[in-house]
Amino acid sequence: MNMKALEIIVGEGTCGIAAGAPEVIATFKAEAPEALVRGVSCLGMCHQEVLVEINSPKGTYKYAKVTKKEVPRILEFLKGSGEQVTENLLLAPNEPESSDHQYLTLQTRIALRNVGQLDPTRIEDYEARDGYKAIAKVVSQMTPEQVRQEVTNSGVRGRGGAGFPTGVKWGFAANQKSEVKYLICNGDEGDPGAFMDRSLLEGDPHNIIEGMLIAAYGIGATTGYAYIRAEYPLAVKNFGLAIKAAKAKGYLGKNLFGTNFSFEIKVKEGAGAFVCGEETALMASIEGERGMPRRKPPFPAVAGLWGKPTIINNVETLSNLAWIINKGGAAYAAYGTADSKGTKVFALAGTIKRGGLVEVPMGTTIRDVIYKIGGGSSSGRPIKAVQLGGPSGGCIPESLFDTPIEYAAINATGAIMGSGGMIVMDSKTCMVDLARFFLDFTKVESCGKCTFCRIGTIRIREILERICDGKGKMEDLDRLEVLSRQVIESSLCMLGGTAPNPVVTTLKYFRDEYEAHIKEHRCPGATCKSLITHKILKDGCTGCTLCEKSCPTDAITGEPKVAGSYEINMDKCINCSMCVEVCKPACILVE
Amino acid sequence: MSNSVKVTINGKEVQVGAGTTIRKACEDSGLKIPTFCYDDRLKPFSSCFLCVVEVEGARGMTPSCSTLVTEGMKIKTESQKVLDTRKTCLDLILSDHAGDCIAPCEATCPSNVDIQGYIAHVSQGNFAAATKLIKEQNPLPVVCGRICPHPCESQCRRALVDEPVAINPIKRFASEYELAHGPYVPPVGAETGKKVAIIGGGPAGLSAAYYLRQKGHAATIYEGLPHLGGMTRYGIPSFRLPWDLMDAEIKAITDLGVKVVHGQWLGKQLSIEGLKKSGYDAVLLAIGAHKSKAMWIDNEDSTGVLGGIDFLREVVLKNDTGVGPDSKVAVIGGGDTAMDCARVAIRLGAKVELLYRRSQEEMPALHHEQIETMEEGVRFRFLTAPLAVVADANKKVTGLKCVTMELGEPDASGRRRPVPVAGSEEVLEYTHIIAAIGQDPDVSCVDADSMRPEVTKWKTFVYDTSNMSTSTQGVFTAGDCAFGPDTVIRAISEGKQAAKAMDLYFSGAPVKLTRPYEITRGRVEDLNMADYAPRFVHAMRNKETTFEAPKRLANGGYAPINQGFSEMQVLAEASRCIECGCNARFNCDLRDQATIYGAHHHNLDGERRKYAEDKRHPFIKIEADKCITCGSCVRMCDEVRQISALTFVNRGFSTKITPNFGDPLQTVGCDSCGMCIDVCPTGAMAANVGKEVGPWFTVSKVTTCTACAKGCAIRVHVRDGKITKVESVVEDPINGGTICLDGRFSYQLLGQTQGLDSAQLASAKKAFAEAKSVAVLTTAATTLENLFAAYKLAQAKGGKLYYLSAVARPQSDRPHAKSAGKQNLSLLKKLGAQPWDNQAVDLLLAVGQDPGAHKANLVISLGVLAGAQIQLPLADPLKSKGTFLTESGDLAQLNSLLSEDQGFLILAQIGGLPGLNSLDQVRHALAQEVKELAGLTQLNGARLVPSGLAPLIADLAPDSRELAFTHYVATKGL
Repeated sequence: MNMKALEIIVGEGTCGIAAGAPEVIATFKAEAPEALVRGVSCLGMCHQEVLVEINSPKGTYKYAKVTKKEVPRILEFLKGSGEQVTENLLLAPNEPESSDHQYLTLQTRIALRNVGQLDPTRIEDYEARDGYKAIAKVVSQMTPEQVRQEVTNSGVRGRGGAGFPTGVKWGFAANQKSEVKYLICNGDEGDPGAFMDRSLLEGDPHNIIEGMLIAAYGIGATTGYAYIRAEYPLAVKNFGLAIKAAKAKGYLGKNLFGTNFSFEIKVKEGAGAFVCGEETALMASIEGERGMPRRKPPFPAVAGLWGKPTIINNVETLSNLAWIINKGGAAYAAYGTADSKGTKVFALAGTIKRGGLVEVPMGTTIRDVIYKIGGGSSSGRPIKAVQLGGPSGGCIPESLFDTPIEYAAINATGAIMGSGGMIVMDSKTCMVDLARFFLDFTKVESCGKCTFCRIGTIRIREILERICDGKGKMEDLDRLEVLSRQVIESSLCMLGGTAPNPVVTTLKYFRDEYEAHIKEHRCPGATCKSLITHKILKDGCTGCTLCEKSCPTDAITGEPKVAGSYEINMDKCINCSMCVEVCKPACILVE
Repeated sequence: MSNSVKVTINGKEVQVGAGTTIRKACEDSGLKIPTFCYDDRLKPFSSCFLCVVEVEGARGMTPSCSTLVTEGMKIKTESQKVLDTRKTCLDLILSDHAGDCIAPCEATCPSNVDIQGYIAHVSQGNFAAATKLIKEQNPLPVVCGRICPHPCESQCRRALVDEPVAINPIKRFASEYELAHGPYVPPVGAETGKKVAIIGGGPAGLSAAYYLRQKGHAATIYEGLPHLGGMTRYGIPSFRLPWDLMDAEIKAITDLGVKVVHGQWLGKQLSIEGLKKSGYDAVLLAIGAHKSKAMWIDNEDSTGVLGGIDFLREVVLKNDTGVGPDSKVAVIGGGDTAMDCARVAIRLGAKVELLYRRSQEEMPALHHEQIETMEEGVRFRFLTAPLAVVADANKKVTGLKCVTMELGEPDASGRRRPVPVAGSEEVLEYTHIIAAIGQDPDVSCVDADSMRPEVTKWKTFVYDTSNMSTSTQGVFTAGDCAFGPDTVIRAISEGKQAAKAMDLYFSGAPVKLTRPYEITRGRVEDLNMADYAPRFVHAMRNKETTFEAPKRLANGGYAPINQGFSEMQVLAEASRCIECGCNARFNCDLRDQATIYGAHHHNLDGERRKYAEDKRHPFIKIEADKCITCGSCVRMCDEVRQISALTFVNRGFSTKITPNFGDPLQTVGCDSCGMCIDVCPTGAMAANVGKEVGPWFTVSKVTTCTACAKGCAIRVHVRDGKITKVESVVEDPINGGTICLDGRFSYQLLGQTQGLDSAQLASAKKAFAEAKSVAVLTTAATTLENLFAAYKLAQAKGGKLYYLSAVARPQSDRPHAKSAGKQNLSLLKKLGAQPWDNQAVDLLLAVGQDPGAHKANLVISLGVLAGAQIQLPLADPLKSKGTFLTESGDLAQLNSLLSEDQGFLILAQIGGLPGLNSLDQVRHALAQEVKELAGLTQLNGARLVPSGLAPLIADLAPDSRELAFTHYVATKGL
């Protein structure tokens, strides 16, 4: 095969880079100098990186987990002189789709439509995929009212978590009489384990810029801010390059498309405070103040950044707008349910076989996302719950996995849609420990302003710690319930307003685990160090010595290569479970 | 849009202004909403969440300080949910709050005497004020000064530096000083017509009488014994507590109009029923515990066996106890009464041995009492327990069968339990055995009473310390007969509590004695010396002098056995107090709200932030671990003053307020206005002062600052003739309710004021009379009255009035800062004053101004100590009731709580000017001369009254007070 006919596309998002994409690209370039080798952003199959897609005259091949070692073999095969690299193969012409590849084909990608498909540093790539056509149409053919109506018709709701109808929110700002209005893109994605916004900012920055232009036109803003976490260096870089390219092409700046509409975008890097994702704190941060939320009303749409009407839209929300304008609000609304329209992106993580970014129509059940797309448990142990919405969210038990993904139904479980974090947990997860983990996060990330959030979260965490240590009392559960409710009810912003959610939902669905800790001094998830013991099962032990080598306190001794000879000295054991991780025959019992 | 909206507050519909907050709407409807982070001068912050209310339909609880009312809003401010939320809010804040609302000495004192407060008075030589403060809680400080076992000292944190403060000797000095200089007599309340019969004239009964009289209730003490004092007289020998002092102190109580009836015993001449029938509204049983405990051994009824307390009483009553020079006495016991018995027996000439069943280490008597007893010749037999009294055929004591003990395992009291050593029994020869092993109340006196209150198995009256009431209605009890035998100060406390309870009872209110919320950093044994010792200069404790034993026993042995502090010693000792109690104890919003809502730091106990105090700024102290993070100080500094010297650092729980970059506050732009102090709801931001402010409960008045022409209101706090604090006044229309460094801290110079003595006045009069040409140099920074007198003085000699003008001084670019040098010259000009031109005169009178170079033959500086470091104004705004002209042309009335400096009077006297003898006279004369000042005669107590003089603002040279303060601030390193 002629190498010139090959287009080799390598996933080079942050996850790809971490998995070794630059090396793989360099090797392809060296081995096949004639081929067109391109780095693109993350396709969302983070578990499969480095992901290589090769378009050849025969069709499309996709390889997963490629390292530089496989590159010559792949090329050999394509030249026709070697065997197919089957262990890495995801997709090949004329072959049935692998179940792993269904991860992509079962999705419905609107926000993510370009991510992983184009080189984010090339505006031409974006233009080639209908880029900037929506804003051209908006500016030349539509009034701001019509734009807002179209967005309202689409039914899209704020994807940052709160789910307020976007078109309606714009109306509040549009109705304000002010020379100056601002449009802010909220890219301060802070939930642990969530990376939807990062992927969009890195992988399709022009789509967000176009979304911001549409929004700005819809509300009458002339200045936009993109508030992006400084911990997302590639996102900051790609977004900056995109602004430059858009300016050069006349998509940003004064009198765009020969009209009165002018718009510019400034990038503000956030310094890593979770609370700066809250819109009033975010604005304070842009103003140079300490990132602390303030009381609403006045809502930002009325008095926001520097006192001017301001609309803050999440990255994912903005990513849908060009599509909506191009295809029409009704097309978007055709997806989803009566309550929630369109699609939603999730960052699927935890003990899941296929983790990464997933975009599905609203109304898809949690079960389908986890089992059909995600492929179920990665550990072999049954999945017992999923945490939706990160630290602000809640825990949904397996029994409720048939809940459709839509705002109302998710809220009814006690969890929240959130920005899209979806962490899957198997049976070896202690739900008290899980709640403690999230409270660890929120207690540090509280801005320190409100009494209940500042001190209440640490007191809740201390109670959870006590329970995990086996020192809890049954009264502690009542206290947790009351204090959680009070923190939720008496905090200014939704950080405090949601911080106890992991406690509330685990208490609601897994109260038996709390009680087991307190009454029986037993951790059903076999996680809490004070309540578990480790024991080597004689029958399974092969005498492989791995457990002995892994033990940091030399608590494990035995005769090498003598099966069943290994034992744990309980006086020395610190219940770290390092041995469990390494034990091949899985013969170390934790209970 | 309508200007008002209709809302429902707690079910009641009210009309409130549109655009007001819920908080304001509630306050306008008479509902007080608590808050920590809201201040009228600041934008609402909504962080403390104490002001929450329930609004129908709203998510969660609503902070009322920042939520605007809307039409039809339904608000609940007192629902259970609101109260619960507020209480949890307080519980949470308290769980992360540090400090000591009151000092540990006061918290430990059974009668909660404000020890830190009185030591602060003593440190400044104000012994009368100290004793007055003590007597708010303890009417018998002289008695206690001699014999109190001072549990306070055991919790004194000075012990973590070197040694505890000698609290009791300080009290002894102050209270005996006060007694010698005329005891303080508190005001007696208006007679209420309620009558109380107090049974027992001991510490509890006397204390009750003292506080009852202050409330206007009639008190009659019935005392069976010939003298008042109870156990302090009949149970404590007079060499420890001189009777003359005790009698004088008791007289100060009975002089309040307390009726005393001697020789009447309950159960004999008196009964509760009889007293009630004879018209007493309440009866207080304060009969003490005068019955010696029995040893419960064989032959205890023999002649020569005496109870300890009985023995002491009989000696006081001069009854024959049989103990004399030929006696050989065994005293059984290890407490203070045993020591007293032994020492009294020694003084009767007997040979005395003291038998105690444990070792000296366990002996409960105060250590120095043990030593003194030994020194006086009493032989101590430790580990010896009595088994039986040995008596002769006549039932007369010949000895005591004893057994030797050894110490076993610790018992419930933590002391090792004595166990007999088998075979160690022996008989010791004695003529008398005094069993001083404790005493019980004798409640048999009520056995036959038809209104007999219930008694406990310990023979005390059943009572509840929260209402001091017995089981019989209207019958109260206090002291040893209620609580059981304890200290004198405990009995005093109980008497005081009983008086409070009876006062509530008479008023018909529920009788429930409560205490304000208190937090503490911990007991001295739980604290870390490293946190204390490095912060203070070490100075060992001053010691009282105990005389040598021969001197103690000379002349019958009833002269006082020790000598208290000298004045030098007491001042030195008072300076050792490290002032643990919070400076905000009398104005802490957090403490007030915690008390109201019953919140407590234990309710949600957990990790606390620990931050050291920052005293680097000479005027402002930051104790960050008291901070509740309301941010008011940061916002005041930023929003109002636009300085931003203070900031938040860290996030979440460890959020802290600190000067920028943690640098000393004075180096990050702070101009020392101290507004951060005013808005702090706790003691986290405070004036960097120590004992000079007590802290004491103060009285305050609003007056006007004269540091520049602005005329800001200042609230001046005064205690016992001393300014303790100056604050801004929130609602003042001038200068946004803020004040500056001069307004707030220049009072600290007041102590250095010097007046004009009679010789100086006479020489000034003479110089004035003899002078042919006179010039008077004055300033617009003084009162109008002074200015007018100066004008009259100049006029009397055909001279002129002058002022010192100056080039404009640099003005701060910060909002609300001082207008340096600016004063309203309109009256000076009206009176024909001119800028000082240094003309040659015989006499130059400089009034509150430093003339500098001059061509005068003689200069009399009034209020200016020429050439001295400290220059003083003629009339300090804090010591005057005169009038000041502000930049807007208003007449601002000064309103001092201190004794006044009457500058105008001195001027009038120098010039022999008629008709200027009082403020009123001067004002009338001035109003007549200057018609625009007609308002001067109709001030009516208003702070600001418009004048008819158009303002004439000019730059003047600093007056002498300003010069002095500038110098003072410079010496502070600012």
